[in-house]
Amino acid sequence: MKEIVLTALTVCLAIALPAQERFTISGTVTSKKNGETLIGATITAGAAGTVSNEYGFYSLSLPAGEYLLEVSAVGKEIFSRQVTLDKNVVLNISMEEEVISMEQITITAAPKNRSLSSPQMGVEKVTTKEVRNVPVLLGERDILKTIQLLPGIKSAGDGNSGFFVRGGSADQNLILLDEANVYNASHLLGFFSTFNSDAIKDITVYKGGMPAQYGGRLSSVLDIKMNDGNNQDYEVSGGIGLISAKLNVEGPIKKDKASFLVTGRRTYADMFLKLSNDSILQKSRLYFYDLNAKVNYNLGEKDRLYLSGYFGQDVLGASDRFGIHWGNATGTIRWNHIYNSKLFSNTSLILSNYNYKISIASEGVNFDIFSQINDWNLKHEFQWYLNNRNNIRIGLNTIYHTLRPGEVRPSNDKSSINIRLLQRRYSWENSLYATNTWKATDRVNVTYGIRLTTFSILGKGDYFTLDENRNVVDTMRYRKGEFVKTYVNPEPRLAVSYRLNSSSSLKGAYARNVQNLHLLANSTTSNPTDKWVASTNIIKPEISDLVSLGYYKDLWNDVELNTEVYYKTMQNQIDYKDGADIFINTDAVETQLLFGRGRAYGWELQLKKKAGKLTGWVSYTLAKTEKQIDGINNNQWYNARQDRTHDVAVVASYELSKKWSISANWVYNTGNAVSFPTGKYSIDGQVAFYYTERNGYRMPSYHRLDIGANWILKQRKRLSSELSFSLYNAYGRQNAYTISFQQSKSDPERTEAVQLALFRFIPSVSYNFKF
Amino acid sequence: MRRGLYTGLIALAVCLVSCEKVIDVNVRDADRRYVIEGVVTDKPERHYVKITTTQNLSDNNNFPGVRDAAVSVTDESGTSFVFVEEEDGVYKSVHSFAGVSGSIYTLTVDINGERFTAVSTMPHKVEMDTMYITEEFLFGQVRKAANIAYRDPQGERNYYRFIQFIEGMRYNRVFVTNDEYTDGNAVTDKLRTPSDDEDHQIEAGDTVTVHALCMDKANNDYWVSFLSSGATGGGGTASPANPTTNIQGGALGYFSAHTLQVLEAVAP
Repeated sequence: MKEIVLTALTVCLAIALPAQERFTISGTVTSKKNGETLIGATITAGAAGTVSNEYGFYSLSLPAGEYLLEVSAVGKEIFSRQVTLDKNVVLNISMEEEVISMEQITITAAPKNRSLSSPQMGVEKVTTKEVRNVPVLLGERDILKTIQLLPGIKSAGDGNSGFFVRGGSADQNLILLDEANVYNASHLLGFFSTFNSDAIKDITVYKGGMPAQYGGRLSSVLDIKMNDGNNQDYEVSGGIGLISAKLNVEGPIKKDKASFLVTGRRTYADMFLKLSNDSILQKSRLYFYDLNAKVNYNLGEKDRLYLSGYFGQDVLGASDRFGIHWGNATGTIRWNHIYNSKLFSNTSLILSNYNYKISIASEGVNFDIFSQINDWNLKHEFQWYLNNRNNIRIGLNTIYHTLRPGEVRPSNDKSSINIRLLQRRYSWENSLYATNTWKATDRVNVTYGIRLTTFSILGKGDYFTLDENRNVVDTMRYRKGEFVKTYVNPEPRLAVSYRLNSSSSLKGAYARNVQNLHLLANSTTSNPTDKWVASTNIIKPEISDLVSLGYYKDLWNDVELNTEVYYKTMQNQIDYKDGADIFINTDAVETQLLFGRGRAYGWELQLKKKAGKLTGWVSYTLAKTEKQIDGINNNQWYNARQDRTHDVAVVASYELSKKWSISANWVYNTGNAVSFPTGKYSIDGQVAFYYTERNGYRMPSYHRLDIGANWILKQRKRLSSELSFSLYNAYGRQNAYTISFQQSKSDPERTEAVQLALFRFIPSVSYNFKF
Repeated sequence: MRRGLYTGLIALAVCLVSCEKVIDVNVRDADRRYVIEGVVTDKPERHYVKITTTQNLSDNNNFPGVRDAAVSVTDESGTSFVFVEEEDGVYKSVHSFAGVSGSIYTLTVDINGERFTAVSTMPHKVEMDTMYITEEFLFGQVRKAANIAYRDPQGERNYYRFIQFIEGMRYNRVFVTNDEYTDGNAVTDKLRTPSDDEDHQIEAGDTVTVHALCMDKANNDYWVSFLSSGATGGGGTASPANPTTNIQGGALGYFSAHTLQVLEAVAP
């Protein structure tokens, strides 16, 4: 391991030897309108080029001379300036909004000149503009539902914000909001995501081949960055929809220096319950809210401080008998420091928390159930722009996890319920990574790196030895702070791109990922009570190896073709033994689990039109995902639940006029793999169902059309407003949400299958404004 | 319990937009398997073992009994009780006998050269103190439900099952509970009927009979997994499977040595 890193560094340094005197031009790219830093802006000078990093910083080293510096970013006018490089230059770039003339309406939804030469593959960028144009359920614009329309990313269910990437399960996605891990990214039983799209600056999804700075999950990384807040002017925007209202306020604390942003959203469906004359419904609660807040401060030319936080809660209650509330809280403090024109650093201290509490009150049975996962996370990273061929990142990351799997407490002294606390689980995760993006030749670019992860399970707590029937045969007690076990895993990452010509390129990548936190969710719907567990002496770290190959071509002016194939193997996959109960009230949850391997492979194709009156894409995925776990399905390979053969998405948006735009999306997919009974029998006088295989059947295929329209009412400097209309499931397809089996009501001698379909013809209208 | 309420709330949340319909599902036929239901109680009576087979889903719900099986139950002292076929697939012990708490019983069934065995321990009997019917107002409807009160003995694990009869008609809803959270406490268990189950609601004047069973852990696990793992046909679990049985040899079903107390009340 060490040798590889050393060799890599030696190679870099050899290339770094200056042929002639070189100077560096560096700075930060921002938007002139609101002072937001711009991520991924392209900076070119002659043949050399770079892109701004996640904090808008760029650095370009060039031989002394005269250069025309050109900068481009989505939705911004191209910035160009003649630069004389006879010393190191700091040039902060402030970019003007793109002006759209009355005659010619062209919308740029994505960067025009995507980076064919970047070795990064399996990456998808979604713009907030695209999120805005996609019609969605009940008009709630939703990042997670938009990315589900991309090739290789599949929805977890009708109207559901959970997603599966390249055969991975929903918990194998690393979801980051301003670097903080979001453990449960959905509201209201999965129908809405926790991300209020109004406050989002950048959305990047890595489906594979993720760079070494990311780790901890097998399948994907969804990296979401919030806006920093307008440091030029006060701005208020908001919206009122069918189920929720939201408001966003931002502005300078000190112009050009510091700004703030606060955004909130709350649903009000529960208000209608109050109108009911049923006293139980009146007392029922069903709502969620989100609150995002952010402050940033320029401490000087070289330092910038960011403070951001998220807090969201769901509340669900039936009368005063039953209630559950759950939610995430995250907080991030970040400090950017520019050491010199070539060395940029960021230090982050991050808190992530997810918890739920269930309250039950019935005669004599009054109790609460509480569960929580809490992370303290420290990251420190250097970005070293060594020269214009090598761009190095080195970082370390340490996380302390505390899991409280379940705590039952009586809520009054008359309750017949005893206090019962499952043991807390402590673990300490450390990662050290180094990665270099190396421009090997004019045609070949390589990113290579390694991430070394250690995961230490710490006492206090009991850990177990199981026999082959998964009964506890031995219990090992550990004292506070004592090391139970440490897993060490190197994760090599490699990505290569080869530019065939000015309009096409080939890419290949390999990545290993390791996951030490696992979600136990043994139900067909996503529940807030799904249980996170850490690796133990029995639950081993999940490991995936993904190889992918891709071909990318700009077909004509603004249409691009992307196609990738992948093969992924997964070790130490978790599934549930027959009859498993993951709510089991014991510290030895391992008794319910079985372990094995998985494999996934597929082909993804996307045709995307990025500019013009018509924008959108067509995507197709052909895929297979299987598991093999001893003790399930007679030890044979079986389809994973998320296995779907075909997935099609067509997403289109058309600018009719200055005021009107229309959009539509159509999706089709093969049904999920599912276990149906193959027979029935009688027990205690009732009919029971008999199962012979895991996931041997398929749900019916799923398809749906959504349509939408945006009507801009006013668009002035001081006030702009628009109305959005949408119709979800426009042709009313009854898509199966669940299929259950029962005895026919009309003929109790016969068995029938009953399909439950959720959403059909759901119209919505929402009003959005900004001033 | 908490999952039941939770499912109810999901149903409430989506009831306005969801719809149900009967669909055709092509299910492959599977090999038949034997289903054994064996019971020994602490009452001095002729206990029974019922043997049937699985059917295809498309078949009707007449499950023919399995004939010509050799059935016996042995206690730990080696005393063997022979069971004989009384009617189609139903075998009864030749002599009445009462099971004893703390005793381990072994069931042996031989069918066409295949042997199935199961072991069950009759647990200590926990006396139910009282049963009464109360009313509850839930989701706009008044529902009556039986309440069973008892004191759980401290320091030992106890597993309970209640079988309810309304006007002598057996109600096939599985009520199981245990003292995981209530060890040593005075407990009242309420036998709720889902509000959409119109046929099994208790009306004023109905005689309600409840069989209160104390059973062993294996049988608790059987009924818990019966409810959670798809045996009832619900589409809620991601990995449906057959309930965990204590029968060795590949048959479905259970063998239970349990204590039995019969309670009765008239609904006000």
